Amino acid sequence: MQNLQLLLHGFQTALTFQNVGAALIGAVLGLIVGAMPGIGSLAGVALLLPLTYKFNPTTAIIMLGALYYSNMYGGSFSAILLNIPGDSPAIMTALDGYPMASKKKRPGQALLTADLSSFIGGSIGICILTFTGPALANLGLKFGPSEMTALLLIAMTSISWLVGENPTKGVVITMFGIILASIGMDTLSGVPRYDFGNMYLLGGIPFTPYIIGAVGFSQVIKLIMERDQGKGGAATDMKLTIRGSMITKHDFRRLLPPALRSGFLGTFIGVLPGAGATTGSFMGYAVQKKMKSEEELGTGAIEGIASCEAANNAAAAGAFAPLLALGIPGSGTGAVLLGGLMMWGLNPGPLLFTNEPDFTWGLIASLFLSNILTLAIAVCVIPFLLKILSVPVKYMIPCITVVCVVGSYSSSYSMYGVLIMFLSGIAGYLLDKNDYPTAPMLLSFVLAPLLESNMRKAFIISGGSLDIFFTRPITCVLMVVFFGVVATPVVKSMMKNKTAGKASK
Amino acid sequence: MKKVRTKQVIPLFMAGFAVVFGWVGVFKLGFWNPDQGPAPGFFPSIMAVVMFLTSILAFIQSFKEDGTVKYEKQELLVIASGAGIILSTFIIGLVGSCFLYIILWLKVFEKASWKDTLIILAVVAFIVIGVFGLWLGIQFPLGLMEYIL
Repeated sequence: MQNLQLLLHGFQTALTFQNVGAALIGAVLGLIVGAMPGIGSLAGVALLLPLTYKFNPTTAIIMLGALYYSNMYGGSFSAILLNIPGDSPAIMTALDGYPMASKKKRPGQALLTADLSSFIGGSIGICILTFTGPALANLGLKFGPSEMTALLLIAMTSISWLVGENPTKGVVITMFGIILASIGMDTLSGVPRYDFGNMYLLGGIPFTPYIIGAVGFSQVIKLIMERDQGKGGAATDMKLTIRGSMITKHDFRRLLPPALRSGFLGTFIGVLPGAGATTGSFMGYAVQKKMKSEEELGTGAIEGIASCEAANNAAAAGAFAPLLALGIPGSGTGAVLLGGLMMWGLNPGPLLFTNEPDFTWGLIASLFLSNILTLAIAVCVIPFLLKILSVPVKYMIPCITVVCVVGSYSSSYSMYGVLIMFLSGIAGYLLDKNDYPTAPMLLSFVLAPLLESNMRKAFIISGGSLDIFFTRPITCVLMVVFFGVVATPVVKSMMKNKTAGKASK
Repeated sequence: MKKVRTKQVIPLFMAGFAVVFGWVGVFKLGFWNPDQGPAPGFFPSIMAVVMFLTSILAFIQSFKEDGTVKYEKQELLVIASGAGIILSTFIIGLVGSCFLYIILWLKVFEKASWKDTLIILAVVAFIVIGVFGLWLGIQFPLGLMEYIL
């Protein structure tokens, strides 16, 4: 109840003309930055940070918070319309968003599904942050290396649900992603790994150019064979209006359960140190894969878009809990925001909620405000976004190619990034042609460094003993879940064979 | 149309890749340190072993797969144009290369009208110069122009 009163007080702070304007600007910029491949929330927040120096801390953090938050909305735009994820959490959105837009010819509905799910997930995240922020942050602290290892093992096992028809190819490509991620400086010992004497490889493979190439540029290569089809494949016979993009009641009923489920899950993932919106988005999708969906995931299912979009927005909101209550950033963007808080003379930590209530509750209230503002803007821009699809494919090809090149350069400030984009584009094209799914490669690339560093830290803590994974209560429970996830398909297969054997007798 | 048996080449490449990474991981980076636990080669070596085994399995399975993969000349043209942008960046810069690519692609390959070409060019210029260059402050490489200027 006290939190509710403080939140109302926060709304008084957030609803001033200046702060609403700051949230609006942050929301618009976040949408643009999120939709631009290669930029992402980290660069967006970092670029805007110096501009906020002259503002008072509350207005400044409201603007940055709105940008960070609305960035999650923007990432889905290019993923759905062009199959180029604007940022890493949108990889999962592209899996169902692009097929829904291109094959099912429902791009408006796909965008609206993403917007509504983001809103629902984000709202859940902010509500949880409001009522349990400091407690949630403390729970996140209980997740040490062994707990994170067990959680990430569950996540990595879940990748197998994305491997498609040939599990062998799926495992090969997952391992390929993991090994590529190990190139560069070892984060724990500082030893160069697999650089083969090349100074560029010493820095590892930059993620954003890699993803732009594997998903975006490979898509352009394939798109060339469809260039005689005329318009962008999706919007030929649909109305370019908000009304024409509305989802039906039935669609909404399909969207709601995964969005609600992913909202809670994503918030929890967002609180965990280092997990971030990408892991949240992936976990949301993986859980949905285990649930009942009207259409198969990966074919343009509403449930697929809703599960990952709700989870990544909820994770973005959840990430504020450890940042504000403990002063621990959960991601690179969180670290920049922390730098901002310090720049404005604030000390994030357990006392921030009591010492700076105007600031803290103003920020939380502004997240509610940003969520509504971003939804309104995102829905209003749908007709303009859909116009992209009315551009003929033959004109889209050079435009997307240039965006891939410029986006990959911008994220790495080096032609090495463009080269990585180009090579991963060719690799993605060849793999796709030969029925190797590329999504597991991208996801394992994101999760592998987290898994490796946590696993090694756990072993270092335990002196090389496996006991650490079975003696700590949270780890033990997660390991049981992990073994359950691994064993379920095997047991199911054995049961099936037994039943088939009995039937044949 | 060329028929290339990449279905066998890819798993063999993956197996070779796994052997190199596994070997470097175990023998150069180290697998396990008695005092500090897992060494830098620990995690990638294990993954390389799994990758090698599954790649061999994928190679064997590839002989049972139906059909061959077809590669079209036009698809290779997109790859060539990407390579062209990268190479010409070192001469005329990234922005110049992108603009030149748009004009050449639309006028020579797509036989588009000048009106359409200029509209597309304007849109791309807005994104590249307006958003990335001016707003986000990205400084693109100028190629040889950098030395001249």
